[in-house]
Amino acid sequence: MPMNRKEIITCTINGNPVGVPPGTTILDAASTIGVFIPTMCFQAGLEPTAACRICLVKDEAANTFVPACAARAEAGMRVTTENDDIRRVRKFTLELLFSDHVGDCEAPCRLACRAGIDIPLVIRRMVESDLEQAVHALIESAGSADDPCSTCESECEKACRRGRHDAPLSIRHLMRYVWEFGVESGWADSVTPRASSERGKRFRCSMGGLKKGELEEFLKDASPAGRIEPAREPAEGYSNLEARSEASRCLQCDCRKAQTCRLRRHADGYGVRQRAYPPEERSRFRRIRHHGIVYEPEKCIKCGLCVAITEGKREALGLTYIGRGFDVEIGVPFDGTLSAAMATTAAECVGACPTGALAFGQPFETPCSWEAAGQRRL
Amino acid sequence: MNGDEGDPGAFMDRMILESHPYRVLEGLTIAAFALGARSGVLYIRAEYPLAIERMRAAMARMKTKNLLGENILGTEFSLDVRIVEGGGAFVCGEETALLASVEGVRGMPRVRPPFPAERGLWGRPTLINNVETYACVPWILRHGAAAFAALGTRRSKGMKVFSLVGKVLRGGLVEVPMGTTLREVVERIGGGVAPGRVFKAVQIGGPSGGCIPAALADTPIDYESLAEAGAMMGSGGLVVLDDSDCMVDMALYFLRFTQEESCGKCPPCRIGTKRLREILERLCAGRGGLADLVRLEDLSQQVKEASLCGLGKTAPNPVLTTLRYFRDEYEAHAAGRCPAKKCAALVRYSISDACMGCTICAQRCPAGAIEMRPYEQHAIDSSACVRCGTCREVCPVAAVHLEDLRCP
Repeated sequence: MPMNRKEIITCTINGNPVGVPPGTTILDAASTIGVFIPTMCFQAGLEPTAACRICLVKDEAANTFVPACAARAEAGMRVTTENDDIRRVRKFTLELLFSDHVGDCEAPCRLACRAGIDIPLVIRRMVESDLEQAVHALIESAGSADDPCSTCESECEKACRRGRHDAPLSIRHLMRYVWEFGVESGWADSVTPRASSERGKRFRCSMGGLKKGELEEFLKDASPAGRIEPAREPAEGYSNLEARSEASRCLQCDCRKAQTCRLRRHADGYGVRQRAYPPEERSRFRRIRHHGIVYEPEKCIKCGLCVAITEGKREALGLTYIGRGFDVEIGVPFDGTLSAAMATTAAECVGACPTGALAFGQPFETPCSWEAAGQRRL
Repeated sequence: MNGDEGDPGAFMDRMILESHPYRVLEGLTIAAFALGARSGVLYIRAEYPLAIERMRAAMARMKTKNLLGENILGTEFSLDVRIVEGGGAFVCGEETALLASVEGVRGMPRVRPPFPAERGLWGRPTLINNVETYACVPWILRHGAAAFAALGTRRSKGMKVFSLVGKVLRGGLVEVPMGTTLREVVERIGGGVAPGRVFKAVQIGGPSGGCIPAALADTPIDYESLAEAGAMMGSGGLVVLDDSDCMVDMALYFLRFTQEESCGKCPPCRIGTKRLREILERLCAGRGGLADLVRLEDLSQQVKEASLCGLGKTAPNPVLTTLRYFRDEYEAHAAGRCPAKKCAALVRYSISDACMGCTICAQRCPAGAIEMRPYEQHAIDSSACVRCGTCREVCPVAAVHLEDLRCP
């Protein structure tokens, strides 16, 4: 196409005339007049792939849906970025994605907790030996600085998945330990509890019943030790060492990106029903870990961002598509490890991943203090 | 040149490449000359070794005669042609995926525009056409456009090759002028269906095409009429179906193909076709219900709308056309019956009292579902039977019958 710099393409977006240089995408053209179009597989600086279909908009002139991230604005286009029809198509794609999305947005313990504590997050912070953050997570999610466990009968422990293996985590003791630690240290005073309105009901993807082998998949990285009861007087609760050991028994079966997941955010926005297109049989949950990177393939939407990033940054190994059709997967070539695939780009890939498929786990390689106590390294 | 012929049962391009390599190369050379292109790529699927061998030989001979290569026939015009062998992915027949494949990356379609004519191979303007198109060019140049345009209908010009397969007496490749009716092709050229059978429908256009019922057999074969009927010309696959073919099973067959050949890039195609397939499988297994018909229609429409490339946009066509013309068969499946007695899970075999106890069926049954009882009427153990139909084929007195499983 002859690129005349002075040439300006005029089209309309939601009825407003827009003039942009040739080659401008609809997404960029829309942003010049402040019109927001949702995206998932798009990242500025990378070649748009138009894979995820969430940015579909309608060109009324041609009466077709076009992906705003990749389609260029053309003269005479009459683009509508939002109406019932467009919302329906986006919702359709999202519902299809959820029909093949295996994982819980929220762990069973958190759903059971009357105080609404983000239990897995608190425990994760404990495992990371970051008690200050654990206190923050507890009080912030509980919405109050009062003793969070005073009103209930350990519903969380009844729901805990670990209970199906040996015994549930002693969540009550753990939460109490963190809370008391917060009060004694004074950290609790510096936290602003989140107002209850901010803890509104969100879309929640749920795995349903566990399939054969899935509990083992969760157990892979948890401490194999049995449930620890406080050796001191029960009223005094856990010692430091006990608390850390017990925390490391957690299966971490929640989603590490529950708050930042773009798929979930869109699910909220479009009123998605998780089981609108139920599968004959859902896939089996898997979790692959290497060093600090956690990859859960069943949460991947195959948007290709991580593939493009590793390719663009000239990773020696990188990530790639493997297989085709429904069975296509993002994987490491030649059965390499995750950290080898993303030697220099891990942070970028994890940040770009729109779902919880790629996330950072605990810093497993840092020797933890309770190793000396004869516990397996987490 | 797009020689990635992938439709099941289609072999038009293969025939042309194997039998008329010069026609294709001449057409390609003319096109390159008209455009001022200096290099040409023949993308031929690796499953056609003979076609590749013959194209190679033809190219070598043309080079020695200075019909290809540098300064063709002493002119300024040079054309370098090479062959790229496809890796066996159906989606690489889609032009942008094909170009990616030539570049050595994974064959996944991308958004158009920009069309290949603007930004194609290695980012350069690229003309991409099918084998048949190039093969037509020399003839048109020699005889004039008017002669070519005189063939066919007002809007669809020229001739078209079809691979006529399925339940016809004479199958094979046929070339007919556009506008010939389906009935003429099936009955006059193909000799109709086997005696005693009823012509039911044609599946035209390959896995992305549709089923046109016998009642519409007078539809002329041209782009517009086929599109109106819900089908398409496609590459020219033409499968004739008779009353022993089940339309739900047919839809499932083609959908299974497109589902497995989807590249997996966009969710509507990757997941949508899988869900469609699951519903069809459920119906064929007798586990479906009437609600599944609504689900099928809804899913098909939305997959068509939301998919990125032609594969996903057309994959539901076999489902939509069979639903449109043979809804009664779907309803029968939802009630657990296969009218054509084709779906294994919905039928059973039984032996009538015409049986003379010859034991041949018992001897041949691969599942051991028939007990050998010489000179007595045999019986089939339906729970062990695998519905292969062998007993029915070997019975000398036609005593083996197919019946509905639910309402015998």
